[in-house]
Amino acid sequence: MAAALLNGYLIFHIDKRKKNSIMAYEKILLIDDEDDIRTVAQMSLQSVGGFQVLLASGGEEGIKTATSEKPDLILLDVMMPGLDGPGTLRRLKNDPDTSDITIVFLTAKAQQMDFVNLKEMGAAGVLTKPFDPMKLPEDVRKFLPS
Amino acid sequence: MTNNDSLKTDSFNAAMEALRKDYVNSWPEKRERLEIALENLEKNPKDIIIMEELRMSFHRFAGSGGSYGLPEVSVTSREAELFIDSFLDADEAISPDAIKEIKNYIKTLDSIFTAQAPAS
Repeated sequence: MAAALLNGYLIFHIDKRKKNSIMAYEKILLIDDEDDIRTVAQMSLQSVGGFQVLLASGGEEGIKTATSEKPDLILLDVMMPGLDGPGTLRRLKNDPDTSDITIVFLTAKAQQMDFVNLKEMGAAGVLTKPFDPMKLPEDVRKFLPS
Repeated sequence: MTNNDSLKTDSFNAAMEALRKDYVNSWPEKRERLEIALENLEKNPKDIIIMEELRMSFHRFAGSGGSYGLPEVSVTSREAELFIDSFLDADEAISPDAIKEIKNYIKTLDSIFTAQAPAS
């Protein structure tokens, strides 16, 4: 039911954008191992924010997608099994093909110390989970290159 | 608010409600996985891999609950995550009392999710 409603809504929303804008949709890559987060963030970013959303469930998959798709921004989970968020960021920043992509951490850990450490790694910013699906696109947009 | 804005909000709310129902309905399966991990930990109280698995499960609920309109899920799960973290940080085996405490976190989560599920 969720998918049907979501798809129905998206068709409406995208048609509306096509009529009113010649801008390409900004492409967001979400890398998160948690299904529930990917589902709600995708719905939020697509239907509220009008973004094109790419999904990856882990660091390795995310790096492959980032290299081939060149998203405008990557939302990156911190704690993931296998290659974690910081490890993924390092690999992306060390590769000339992906080093310019804006990366924003999305983390359930919200301590001030984490914020500082994560930014020092080269992230443009840090957003916290849980997020408000109505507000997430607005928060993401602040980090998009103008 | 224009008609288009109103339609957009209504569509979003309907989609969000459907996602929330799916999230709530997925709880029994996730609870079972938590309980199995906890049983394994009870048998192997020093097993760091099982402890990590359990901590990661609570970490996921902490991150997702509030986004689905269930902030109590996030709060309870974050407490459980930090509780398990304290044993991992101290490199300590999980005590029988700690097992009881984790069971209580699962019970609390169960009561939150059960209150959301439609009566059958």
